[in-house]
Amino acid sequence: MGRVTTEALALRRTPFGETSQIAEFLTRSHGRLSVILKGVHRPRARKGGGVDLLDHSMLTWFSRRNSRAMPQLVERRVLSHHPKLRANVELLQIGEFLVELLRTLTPEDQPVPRVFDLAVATLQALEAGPPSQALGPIVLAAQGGILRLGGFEPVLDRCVVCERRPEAHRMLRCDPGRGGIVCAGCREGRDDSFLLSTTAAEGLRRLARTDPRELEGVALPAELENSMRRASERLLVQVLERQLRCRVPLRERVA
Amino acid sequence: MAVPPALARLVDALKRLPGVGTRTAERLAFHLLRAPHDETHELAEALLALQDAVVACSTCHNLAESDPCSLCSDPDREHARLLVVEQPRDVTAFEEAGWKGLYHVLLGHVSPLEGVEAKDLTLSALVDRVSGGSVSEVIVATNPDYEGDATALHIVRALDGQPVQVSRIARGVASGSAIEYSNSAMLSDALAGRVNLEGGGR
Ligand SMILES: [Zn+2]
Ligand SMILES: [Zn+2]
Repeated sequence: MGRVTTEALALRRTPFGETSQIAEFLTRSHGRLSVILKGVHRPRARKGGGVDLLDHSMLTWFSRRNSRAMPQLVERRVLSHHPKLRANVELLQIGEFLVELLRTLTPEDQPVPRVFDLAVATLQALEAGPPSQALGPIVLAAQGGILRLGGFEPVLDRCVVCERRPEAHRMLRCDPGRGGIVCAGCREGRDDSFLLSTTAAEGLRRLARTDPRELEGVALPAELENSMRRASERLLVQVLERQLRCRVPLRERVA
Repeated sequence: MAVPPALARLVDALKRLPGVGTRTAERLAFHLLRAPHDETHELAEALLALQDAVVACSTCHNLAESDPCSLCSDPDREHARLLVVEQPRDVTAFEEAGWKGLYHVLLGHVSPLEGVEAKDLTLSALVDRVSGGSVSEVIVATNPDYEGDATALHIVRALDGQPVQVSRIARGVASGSAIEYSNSAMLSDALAGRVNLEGGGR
């Protein structure tokens, strides 16, 4: 690799010795990557101090070609420390949820510019201090977009099996195990499917294609948002094959 | 060369300590092998005595030799002021800095990513202490990082409505350091936490 400079978000950090740190970043050009930051906790460290979770920075590291040794930090310039997000419990929890998604659903050592940009856009949307009713749509856009860009998007606009498109204003059955909507004709006896309205399915699909920064003024009807959040959580658990540690912290909205 | 089993056992045990890798563990093991008998004996006894002699203070949750600990039972300290810290080693740091009030040790920080929730800390014990009525000021001294921020906000929420003044320690440029060596996070914190200068301006 030699010397590489790219934007990065910090996903994990571990102390290493007395004055150093190992940090895992989501980098724009190399996916997830662990870098050793030597001496960053020394009082006069010049490399920008210790890394904090979700710090957005311009990172330069060095790694010897054909070496299995961990890349070493050369320089780090913090672009954003997200001060507003860090002054609000809900926003901090959404940040941790985002970290868990990125840790789980992004590859190592592959360029992921679109996922990276979506993650940064999500943080910017949260940092802008949106009204509380916009938080649900922002979280759904981030989660849906990360799944979509990672190739894990559920099929929500047609039957997974026969590809028939549903009529508008209907209740559909969504089966996470089969990857999305299954029509009545294609269902096989008992399954783990749940009811989902065409409006909610279409809403999830559209949010997965929306920049979270454009959602500041969006408010969904409470009942619709709750059903979209329940559905997206079940679809995510299916992809991750486990429950999330960081539950989406938003309370059920009351109509 | 085959390593004698006793040496391999020590290396394995040392490697389980935080921040100790194979090479450090081997270096420590070889040092102990060559050390005077008294020195290794003292270390072994100290390790064995550790878990018997150390208790958690049921008031402040700091590690101590007695319960209540020597700090909580010291009549000369300011009992109405509590400094809330994450770890026992933070108590040591603030003792060296000359803090004269009492402490409350949370035994961790809120981090769902590490599987630690607010209920896993000694937060409800803090609320009980405060609602007892003898505390007038709570100063939150959690680390100036993501988890420390989250923990501080949980403390503020938990103490909402209690008749105490709650504040958080200032953060920013380290004393004895210089602006040019401070990173941008430190500088933005320092700007946000600026204090008025008496007699200056209007
Ligand atoms: Zn079908
Ligand atoms: Zn005590």
